[in-house]
Amino acid sequence: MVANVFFELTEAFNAERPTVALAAGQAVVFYRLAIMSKDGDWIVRESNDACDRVLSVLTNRGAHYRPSPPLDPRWLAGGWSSHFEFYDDRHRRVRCDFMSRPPRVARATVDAIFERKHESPLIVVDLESLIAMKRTQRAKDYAVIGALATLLPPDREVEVTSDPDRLLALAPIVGPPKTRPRLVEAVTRGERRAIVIGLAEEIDDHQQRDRRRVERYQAAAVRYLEAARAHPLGELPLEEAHQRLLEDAERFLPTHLPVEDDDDAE
Amino acid sequence: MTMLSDDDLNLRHMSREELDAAWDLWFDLAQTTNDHDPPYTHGVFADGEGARAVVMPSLRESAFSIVVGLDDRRAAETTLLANLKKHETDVRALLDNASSHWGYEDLIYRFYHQSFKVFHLQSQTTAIVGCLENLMPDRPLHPWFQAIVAQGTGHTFTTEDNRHWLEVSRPVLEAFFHARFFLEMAARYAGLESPPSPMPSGYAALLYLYQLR
Repeated sequence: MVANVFFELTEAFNAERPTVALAAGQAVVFYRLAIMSKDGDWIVRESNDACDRVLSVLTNRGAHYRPSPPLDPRWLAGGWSSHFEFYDDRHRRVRCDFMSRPPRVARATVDAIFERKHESPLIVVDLESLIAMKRTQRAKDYAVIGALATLLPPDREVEVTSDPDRLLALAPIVGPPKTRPRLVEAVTRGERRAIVIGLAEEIDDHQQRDRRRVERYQAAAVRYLEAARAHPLGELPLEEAHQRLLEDAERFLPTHLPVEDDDDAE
Repeated sequence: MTMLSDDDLNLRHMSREELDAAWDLWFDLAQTTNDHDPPYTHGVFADGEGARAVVMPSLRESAFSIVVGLDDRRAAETTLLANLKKHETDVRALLDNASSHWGYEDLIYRFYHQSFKVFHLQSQTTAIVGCLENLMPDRPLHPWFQAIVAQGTGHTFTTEDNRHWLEVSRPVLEAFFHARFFLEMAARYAGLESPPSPMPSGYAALLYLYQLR
Protein backbone atom coordinates (compact mmCIF):
# COMPACT_ATOMS: atom_id res chain seq x y z
CA MET A 1 0.00 0.00 0.00
CA VAL A 2 1.28 3.48 -0.79
CA ALA A 3 1.71 5.83 2.13
CA ASN A 4 2.45 9.47 2.58
CA VAL A 5 6.17 9.41 3.35
CA PHE A 6 5.79 12.38 5.70
CA PHE A 7 3.07 10.61 7.71
CA GLU A 8 5.23 7.50 7.79
CA LEU A 9 8.28 9.49 8.91
CA THR A 10 6.25 11.13 11.68
CA GLU A 11 5.36 7.69 12.99
CA ALA A 12 9.02 6.62 12.80
CA PHE A 13 10.24 9.69 14.70
CA ASN A 14 7.62 9.08 17.38
CA ALA A 15 8.00 5.32 17.61
CA GLU A 16 9.65 5.41 21.04
CA ARG A 17 8.11 8.55 22.56
CA PRO A 18 6.55 11.81 21.32
CA THR A 19 9.37 13.55 19.47
CA VAL A 20 7.86 15.55 16.63
CA ALA A 21 4.54 16.96 15.51
CA LEU A 22 3.79 17.23 11.81
CA ALA A 23 3.17 20.84 10.79
CA ALA A 24 2.70 23.19 7.84
CA GLY A 25 1.66 21.80 4.45
CA GLN A 26 1.57 18.14 5.39
CA ALA A 27 -0.57 18.97 8.42
CA VAL A 28 -2.95 20.65 5.98
CA VAL A 29 -3.03 17.34 4.08
CA PHE A 30 -3.69 15.52 7.36
CA TYR A 31 -6.67 17.80 7.99
CA ARG A 32 -7.80 16.97 4.44
CA LEU A 33 -7.93 20.50 3.12
CA ALA A 34 -5.42 20.63 0.29
CA ILE A 35 -2.35 18.95 -1.18
CA MET A 36 0.01 21.81 -1.85
CA SER A 37 3.43 21.03 -0.37
CA LYS A 38 6.04 18.45 -1.24
CA ASP A 39 8.23 19.10 1.79
CA GLY A 40 7.76 17.99 5.37
CA ASP A 41 7.90 20.36 8.34
CA TRP A 42 7.90 19.24 11.92
CA ILE A 43 7.94 20.82 15.33
CA VAL A 44 10.57 18.86 17.22
CA ARG A 45 10.62 18.56 21.00
CA GLU A 46 13.39 20.84 22.20
CA SER A 47 15.71 18.31 23.79
CA ASN A 48 18.90 16.40 23.03
CA ASP A 49 17.14 13.04 22.97
CA ALA A 50 14.57 14.30 20.47
CA CYS A 51 17.29 15.66 18.18
CA ASP A 52 19.21 12.39 18.47
CA ARG A 53 16.11 10.42 17.55
CA VAL A 54 15.44 12.55 14.47
CA LEU A 55 19.06 12.33 13.34
CA SER A 56 19.04 8.56 13.86
CA VAL A 57 15.93 8.02 11.73
CA LEU A 58 17.25 10.36 9.04
CA THR A 59 20.64 8.62 9.03
CA ASN A 60 18.88 5.33 8.39
CA ARG A 61 17.16 6.92 5.41
CA GLY A 62 20.46 8.11 3.93
CA ALA A 63 19.62 11.76 4.51
CA HIS A 64 22.11 14.58 4.34
CA TYR A 65 22.03 18.07 5.71
CA ARG A 66 21.04 20.96 3.57
CA PRO A 67 23.15 23.93 4.61
CA SER A 68 21.35 24.96 7.75
CA PRO A 69 21.89 25.29 11.48
CA PRO A 70 22.65 22.01 13.23
CA LEU A 71 19.72 20.19 14.75
CA ASP A 72 20.60 21.12 18.31
CA PRO A 73 18.42 22.51 21.11
CA ARG A 74 20.64 25.56 21.49
CA TRP A 75 19.81 26.91 18.06
CA LEU A 76 16.34 25.48 17.90
CA ALA A 77 15.55 27.47 21.04
CA GLY A 78 16.59 30.62 19.20
CA GLY A 79 14.03 30.10 16.48
CA TRP A 80 16.31 28.57 13.85
CA SER A 81 15.33 25.56 11.80
CA SER A 82 17.32 22.60 10.45
CA HIS A 83 16.87 21.15 6.97
CA PHE A 84 17.57 17.73 5.48
CA GLU A 85 17.03 15.85 2.27
CA PHE A 86 17.04 12.25 1.10
CA TYR A 87 15.68 10.14 -1.75
CA ASP A 88 13.12 7.44 -1.07
CA ASP A 89 13.15 3.96 -2.59
CA ARG A 90 11.35 5.33 -5.65
CA HIS A 91 14.04 7.98 -6.09
CA ARG A 92 11.74 10.78 -5.03
CA ARG A 93 13.29 13.72 -3.25
CA VAL A 94 12.11 14.05 0.34
CA ARG A 95 12.90 17.27 2.16
CA CYS A 96 12.52 17.47 5.93
CA ASP A 97 12.57 20.67 7.99
CA PHE A 98 12.57 20.93 11.78
CA MET A 99 11.97 23.70 14.29
CA SER A 100 11.07 23.79 17.95
CA ARG A 101 9.88 27.39 18.26
CA PRO A 102 7.34 27.89 15.51
CA PRO A 103 6.70 31.58 15.01
CA ARG A 104 3.63 33.05 16.63
CA VAL A 105 2.95 29.96 18.77
CA ALA A 106 3.29 30.18 22.53
CA ARG A 107 5.90 27.97 24.15
CA ALA A 108 3.31 26.48 26.48
CA THR A 109 1.22 25.46 23.49
CA VAL A 110 4.17 23.65 21.94
CA ASP A 111 4.98 21.94 25.23
CA ALA A 112 1.38 20.81 25.55
CA ILE A 113 1.58 19.04 22.20
CA PHE A 114 4.19 16.68 23.55
CA GLU A 115 2.78 16.36 27.06
CA ARG A 116 -0.63 15.31 25.79
CA LYS A 117 -1.38 11.60 25.62
CA HIS A 118 -1.41 10.47 22.00
CA GLU A 119 -3.18 7.37 20.77
CA SER A 120 -1.17 7.29 17.55
CA PRO A 121 2.44 8.10 16.70
CA LEU A 122 1.09 10.25 13.88
CA ILE A 123 1.20 13.40 15.99
CA VAL A 124 0.03 16.52 14.18
CA VAL A 125 0.07 20.11 15.31
CA ASP A 126 -3.28 21.40 16.55
CA LEU A 127 -5.42 23.54 14.29
CA GLU A 128 -4.95 26.89 16.03
CA SER A 129 -1.16 26.53 16.14
CA LEU A 130 -1.18 25.54 12.50
CA ILE A 131 -3.20 28.64 11.68
CA ALA A 132 -0.75 30.83 13.61
CA MET A 133 2.17 29.27 11.74
CA LYS A 134 0.43 29.92 8.45
CA ARG A 135 0.43 33.69 8.98
CA THR A 136 3.41 34.04 6.68
CA GLN A 137 4.23 36.32 3.78
CA ARG A 138 2.46 34.11 1.27
CA ALA A 139 -0.96 35.23 0.15
CA LYS A 140 -2.20 31.72 -0.48
CA ASP A 141 -1.68 30.76 3.16
CA TYR A 142 -4.56 33.03 4.12
CA ALA A 143 -6.93 31.02 1.95
CA VAL A 144 -5.74 27.92 3.79
CA ILE A 145 -6.31 29.70 7.11
CA GLY A 146 -9.90 30.41 6.11
CA ALA A 147 -10.44 26.75 5.29
CA LEU A 148 -8.69 25.50 8.43
CA ALA A 149 -10.76 27.84 10.56
CA THR A 150 -13.97 26.14 9.49
CA LEU A 151 -12.80 23.07 11.40
CA LEU A 152 -12.81 25.01 14.69
CA PRO A 153 -15.77 25.64 17.03
CA PRO A 154 -17.61 28.87 16.12
CA ASP A 155 -16.25 30.90 19.03
CA ARG A 156 -12.70 30.12 17.91
CA GLU A 157 -13.37 30.32 14.17
CA VAL A 158 -14.53 33.92 14.55
CA GLU A 159 -11.15 34.80 16.10
CA VAL A 160 -9.04 33.46 13.26
CA THR A 161 -10.99 33.15 10.03
CA SER A 162 -9.87 35.08 6.95
CA ASP A 163 -13.32 34.76 5.35
CA PRO A 164 -15.54 37.87 5.59
CA ASP A 165 -18.70 35.86 4.97
CA ARG A 166 -17.91 33.53 7.84
CA LEU A 167 -17.40 36.53 10.11
CA LEU A 168 -20.81 37.84 9.12
CA ALA A 169 -22.41 34.44 9.63
CA LEU A 170 -20.73 33.77 12.97
CA ALA A 171 -21.27 37.17 14.58
CA PRO A 172 -24.99 36.67 15.41
CA ILE A 173 -24.13 33.34 17.02
CA VAL A 174 -20.99 34.07 19.01
CA GLY A 175 -20.65 37.84 18.79
CA PRO A 176 -17.85 39.81 17.18
CA PRO A 177 -14.22 38.66 17.57
CA LYS A 178 -12.63 39.62 20.86
CA THR A 179 -9.01 39.60 19.73
CA ARG A 180 -9.21 41.40 16.38
CA PRO A 181 -9.38 45.15 16.92
CA ARG A 182 -9.39 45.95 13.20
CA LEU A 183 -12.60 43.97 12.76
CA VAL A 184 -14.73 44.39 15.87
CA GLU A 185 -16.60 47.51 14.79
CA ALA A 186 -17.23 46.39 11.21
CA VAL A 187 -18.44 42.96 12.32
CA THR A 188 -20.67 44.49 15.00
CA ARG A 189 -22.29 46.72 12.39
CA GLY A 190 -22.41 43.91 9.80
CA GLU A 191 -20.66 46.02 7.19
CA ARG A 192 -19.17 43.58 4.74
CA ARG A 193 -16.98 46.02 2.84
CA ALA A 194 -15.44 47.32 6.05
CA ILE A 195 -14.79 43.74 7.13
CA VAL A 196 -13.04 43.00 3.84
CA ILE A 197 -10.84 46.07 4.28
CA GLY A 198 -10.13 45.18 7.90
CA LEU A 199 -9.14 41.65 6.91
CA ALA A 200 -6.81 42.96 4.20
CA GLU A 201 -5.14 45.27 6.69
CA GLU A 202 -4.86 42.49 9.21
CA ILE A 203 -3.26 40.16 6.65
CA ASP A 204 -0.83 42.87 5.62
CA ASP A 205 0.11 43.33 9.28
CA HIS A 206 0.87 39.62 9.53
CA GLN A 207 2.87 39.61 6.30
CA GLN A 208 4.98 42.62 7.21
CA ARG A 209 5.63 41.26 10.68
CA ASP A 210 6.78 37.93 9.25
CA ARG A 211 8.96 39.71 6.70
CA ARG A 212 10.74 41.70 9.40
CA ARG A 213 11.27 38.55 11.43
CA VAL A 214 12.80 36.67 8.52
CA GLU A 215 15.05 39.58 7.59
CA ARG A 216 16.53 39.68 11.07
CA TYR A 217 17.44 36.01 10.87
CA GLN A 218 18.75 36.47 7.34
CA ALA A 219 21.15 39.17 8.49
CA ALA A 220 22.33 37.09 11.44
CA ALA A 221 23.12 34.08 9.24
CA VAL A 222 25.55 35.66 6.78
CA ARG A 223 28.81 34.52 8.36
CA TYR A 224 27.45 31.08 9.09
CA LEU A 225 26.44 30.73 5.46
CA GLU A 226 29.99 31.38 4.34
CA ALA A 227 31.29 28.67 6.65
CA ALA A 228 28.61 26.17 5.69
CA ARG A 229 29.47 26.65 2.02
CA ALA A 230 32.88 25.15 2.63
CA HIS A 231 31.46 21.70 3.43
CA PRO A 232 30.34 19.13 0.85
CA LEU A 233 27.21 18.48 2.88
CA GLY A 234 25.57 16.42 0.17
CA GLU A 235 28.41 13.92 0.34
CA LEU A 236 29.15 13.82 4.05
CA PRO A 237 27.59 11.22 6.35
CA LEU A 238 24.96 12.91 8.44
CA GLU A 239 26.84 12.53 11.71
CA GLU A 240 30.01 14.07 10.31
CA ALA A 241 28.11 16.92 8.71
CA HIS A 242 26.34 17.50 12.01
CA GLN A 243 29.65 17.84 13.85
CA ARG A 244 31.04 20.25 11.28
CA LEU A 245 27.95 22.42 11.37
CA LEU A 246 28.00 22.43 15.15
CA GLU A 247 31.54 23.78 15.06
CA ASP A 248 30.57 26.46 12.53
CA ALA A 249 27.47 27.41 14.47
CA GLU A 250 29.39 27.76 17.72
CA ARG A 251 31.69 30.22 15.97
CA PHE A 252 29.35 32.15 13.72
CA LEU A 253 25.68 31.63 14.45
CA PRO A 254 24.05 33.38 17.41
CA THR A 255 21.80 31.03 19.31
CA HIS A 256 19.37 33.81 20.10
CA LEU A 257 18.53 37.03 18.36
CA PRO A 258 17.35 40.03 20.33
CA VAL A 259 13.70 39.55 21.18
CA GLU A 260 11.27 41.81 19.40
CA ASP A 261 7.56 42.14 19.82
CA ASP A 262 7.13 40.65 16.40
CA ASP A 263 8.32 37.27 17.58
CA ASP A 264 6.01 36.99 20.53
CA ALA A 265 3.37 34.38 20.45
CA GLU A 266 -0.02 35.82 19.83
CA MET B 1 -16.47 33.13 0.17
CA THR B 2 -14.74 30.20 -1.49
CA MET B 3 -11.31 29.83 0.10
CA LEU B 4 -10.17 26.63 -1.61
CA SER B 5 -11.37 24.85 -4.73
CA ASP B 6 -13.81 21.94 -4.75
CA ASP B 7 -10.94 19.72 -5.87
CA ASP B 8 -9.10 20.54 -2.67
CA LEU B 9 -12.10 20.11 -0.43
CA ASN B 10 -12.89 16.73 -1.96
CA LEU B 11 -10.09 15.41 0.22
CA ARG B 12 -12.51 15.56 3.13
CA HIS B 13 -14.49 12.66 1.77
CA MET B 14 -11.53 10.38 1.11
CA SER B 15 -10.62 7.38 3.20
CA ARG B 16 -7.06 7.25 4.55
CA GLU B 17 -6.14 4.86 1.72
CA GLU B 18 -7.64 7.15 -0.90
CA LEU B 19 -5.92 10.18 0.58
CA ASP B 20 -2.58 8.35 0.58
CA ALA B 21 -3.08 7.30 -3.04
CA ALA B 22 -3.98 10.83 -4.13
CA TRP B 23 -1.01 12.25 -2.28
CA ASP B 24 1.30 9.60 -3.72
CA LEU B 25 0.24 10.47 -7.26
CA TRP B 26 0.68 14.17 -6.56
CA PHE B 27 4.11 13.59 -5.03
CA ASP B 28 5.19 11.65 -8.14
CA LEU B 29 4.11 14.53 -10.37
CA ALA B 30 5.69 17.11 -8.09
CA GLN B 31 9.09 15.48 -8.53
CA THR B 32 9.23 16.72 -12.11
CA THR B 33 9.70 20.26 -10.86
CA ASN B 34 12.46 19.55 -8.32
CA ASP B 35 15.16 21.15 -10.44
CA HIS B 36 13.04 24.23 -10.87
CA ASP B 37 11.89 24.79 -7.33
CA PRO B 38 12.38 28.38 -6.26
CA PRO B 39 15.68 29.04 -4.50
CA TYR B 40 13.87 29.87 -1.28
CA THR B 41 11.60 27.32 0.23
CA HIS B 42 10.65 26.92 3.83
CA GLY B 43 13.01 29.67 4.85
CA VAL B 44 16.05 28.11 3.19
CA PHE B 45 18.36 30.64 1.63
CA ALA B 46 19.93 28.97 -1.40
CA ASP B 47 22.81 30.70 -3.13
CA GLY B 48 22.02 29.52 -6.62
CA GLU B 49 24.29 26.50 -6.53
CA GLY B 50 21.82 23.83 -5.63
CA ALA B 51 22.56 22.44 -2.21
CA ARG B 52 24.38 25.45 -0.87
CA ALA B 53 22.04 27.26 1.39
CA VAL B 54 21.61 28.66 4.79
CA VAL B 55 18.49 28.36 6.80
CA MET B 56 16.27 31.18 7.70
CA PRO B 57 13.86 30.79 10.57
CA SER B 58 11.16 28.34 10.06
CA LEU B 59 8.70 28.46 7.25
CA ARG B 60 8.21 30.04 3.90
CA GLU B 61 9.96 32.44 1.64
CA SER B 62 11.76 35.56 2.67
CA ALA B 63 10.98 38.93 1.20
CA PHE B 64 14.05 38.62 -0.96
CA SER B 65 12.89 35.33 -2.42
CA ILE B 66 9.63 36.84 -3.50
CA VAL B 67 11.40 39.66 -5.30
CA VAL B 68 13.85 37.31 -7.01
CA GLY B 69 11.07 34.92 -8.01
CA LEU B 70 9.00 37.70 -9.52
CA ASP B 71 11.95 39.12 -11.43
CA ASP B 72 12.76 35.72 -12.85
CA ARG B 73 9.19 35.12 -13.89
CA ARG B 74 8.87 38.53 -15.51
CA ALA B 75 12.06 37.98 -17.47
CA ALA B 76 10.87 34.56 -18.60
CA GLU B 77 7.48 35.98 -19.59
CA THR B 78 9.21 38.62 -21.71
CA THR B 79 11.20 35.87 -23.41
CA LEU B 80 8.01 33.92 -24.01
CA LEU B 81 6.35 36.90 -25.71
CA ALA B 82 9.43 37.47 -27.89
CA ASN B 83 9.58 33.82 -28.87
CA LEU B 84 5.86 33.72 -29.65
CA LYS B 85 6.42 36.55 -32.09
CA LYS B 86 9.57 34.98 -33.51
CA HIS B 87 7.91 31.61 -34.14
CA GLU B 88 4.44 32.89 -35.00
CA THR B 89 4.60 31.61 -38.58
CA ASP B 90 5.46 28.08 -37.45
CA VAL B 91 2.81 28.17 -34.74
CA ARG B 92 0.09 29.27 -37.17
CA ALA B 93 1.09 26.71 -39.79
CA LEU B 94 0.86 23.93 -37.25
CA LEU B 95 -2.45 25.26 -35.95
CA ASP B 96 -3.84 25.40 -39.48
CA ASN B 97 -2.97 21.75 -39.92
CA ALA B 98 -4.46 20.85 -36.54
CA SER B 99 -7.67 22.65 -37.58
CA SER B 100 -7.92 21.25 -41.09
CA HIS B 101 -10.33 18.69 -42.46
CA TRP B 102 -7.82 15.82 -42.53
CA GLY B 103 -5.81 16.92 -39.52
CA TYR B 104 -8.73 17.58 -37.19
CA GLU B 105 -12.26 17.07 -38.38
CA ASP B 106 -11.71 13.66 -39.92
CA LEU B 107 -9.56 12.30 -37.11
CA ILE B 108 -12.04 13.18 -34.39
CA TYR B 109 -14.75 11.59 -36.53
CA ARG B 110 -12.62 8.43 -36.60
CA PHE B 111 -12.98 8.09 -32.86
CA TYR B 112 -16.76 7.69 -33.16
CA HIS B 113 -16.30 5.57 -36.27
CA GLN B 114 -14.02 3.32 -34.17
CA SER B 115 -11.24 3.53 -36.70
CA PHE B 116 -7.56 3.06 -35.94
CA LYS B 117 -6.99 6.34 -37.80
CA VAL B 118 -7.75 8.20 -34.61
CA PHE B 119 -4.28 7.15 -33.50
CA HIS B 120 -2.86 9.34 -36.25
CA LEU B 121 -3.60 12.22 -33.90
CA GLN B 122 -0.53 11.18 -31.91
CA SER B 123 1.89 12.45 -34.56
CA GLN B 124 0.16 15.82 -34.47
CA THR B 125 0.28 15.91 -30.70
CA THR B 126 3.98 15.14 -30.77
CA ALA B 127 4.64 17.83 -33.35
CA ILE B 128 2.65 20.41 -31.36
CA VAL B 129 4.44 19.56 -28.13
CA GLY B 130 7.76 19.94 -29.93
CA CYS B 131 6.67 23.36 -31.14
CA LEU B 132 5.54 24.40 -27.65
CA GLU B 133 8.80 23.20 -26.13
CA ASN B 134 10.72 25.15 -28.74
CA LEU B 135 9.02 28.36 -27.61
CA MET B 136 10.72 28.11 -24.21
CA PRO B 137 13.50 25.52 -24.54
CA ASP B 138 14.85 26.14 -21.06
CA ARG B 139 11.60 25.64 -19.21
CA PRO B 140 9.91 22.28 -18.61
CA LEU B 141 6.26 22.13 -19.51
CA HIS B 142 3.68 21.82 -16.77
CA PRO B 143 3.90 18.33 -15.23
CA TRP B 144 0.17 17.69 -15.64
CA PHE B 145 0.43 18.51 -19.32
CA GLN B 146 3.44 16.24 -19.61
CA ALA B 147 1.53 13.43 -17.92
CA ILE B 148 -1.45 13.88 -20.24
CA VAL B 149 0.81 13.84 -23.31
CA ALA B 150 2.72 10.79 -22.07
CA GLN B 151 -0.53 8.86 -21.69
CA GLY B 152 -1.82 9.95 -25.08
CA THR B 153 1.20 9.32 -27.30
CA GLY B 154 3.43 6.41 -28.24
CA HIS B 155 0.53 4.03 -28.64
CA THR B 156 0.59 1.51 -31.52
CA PHE B 157 -2.82 0.28 -32.54
CA THR B 158 -3.65 -3.43 -32.28
CA THR B 159 -6.97 -5.12 -32.98
CA GLU B 160 -7.20 -5.86 -29.26
CA ASP B 161 -7.68 -2.13 -28.77
CA ASN B 162 -11.14 -2.42 -30.33
CA ARG B 163 -12.25 -4.36 -27.26
CA HIS B 164 -11.21 -1.47 -25.00
CA TRP B 165 -11.89 1.37 -27.38
CA LEU B 166 -12.70 4.12 -24.93
CA GLU B 167 -9.93 3.13 -22.59
CA VAL B 168 -7.21 3.30 -25.24
CA SER B 169 -8.41 6.04 -27.55
CA ARG B 170 -9.61 8.69 -25.10
CA PRO B 171 -6.11 9.48 -23.78
CA VAL B 172 -5.00 10.02 -27.40
CA LEU B 173 -7.82 12.49 -27.96
CA GLU B 174 -7.27 14.17 -24.62
CA ALA B 175 -3.57 14.73 -25.29
CA PHE B 176 -4.34 16.17 -28.71
CA PHE B 177 -7.02 18.49 -27.35
CA HIS B 178 -4.72 19.86 -24.67
CA ALA B 179 -1.81 20.30 -27.06
CA ARG B 180 -4.03 21.95 -29.68
CA PHE B 181 -5.52 24.27 -27.06
CA PHE B 182 -2.11 25.57 -26.06
CA LEU B 183 -1.08 25.92 -29.68
CA GLU B 184 -4.22 27.96 -30.33
CA MET B 185 -3.48 30.19 -27.35
CA ALA B 186 0.10 30.62 -28.54
CA ALA B 187 -1.18 31.82 -31.90
CA ARG B 188 -3.83 34.04 -30.31
CA TYR B 189 -1.39 35.89 -28.08
CA ALA B 190 1.64 35.92 -30.41
CA GLY B 191 1.04 39.59 -31.23
CA LEU B 192 1.32 40.90 -27.68
CA GLU B 193 4.01 43.49 -27.08
CA SER B 194 3.85 43.17 -23.30
CA PRO B 195 2.06 41.11 -20.66
CA PRO B 196 -1.67 41.89 -20.84
CA SER B 197 -3.61 43.40 -17.98
CA PRO B 198 -6.15 42.18 -17.14
CA MET B 199 -4.86 38.77 -18.07
CA PRO B 200 -7.06 36.73 -20.45
CA SER B 201 -7.66 33.15 -19.33
CA GLY B 202 -5.94 31.63 -22.37
CA TYR B 203 -2.83 33.70 -21.79
CA ALA B 204 -2.84 32.72 -18.12
CA ALA B 205 -3.09 29.08 -19.20
CA LEU B 206 -0.01 29.57 -21.37
CA LEU B 207 1.84 30.89 -18.35
CA TYR B 208 0.82 27.77 -16.47
CA LEU B 209 2.10 25.63 -19.33
CA TYR B 210 5.56 27.12 -18.88
CA GLN B 211 5.21 27.18 -15.10
CA LEU B 212 5.33 30.93 -15.01
CA ARG B 213 2.20 31.24 -12.89
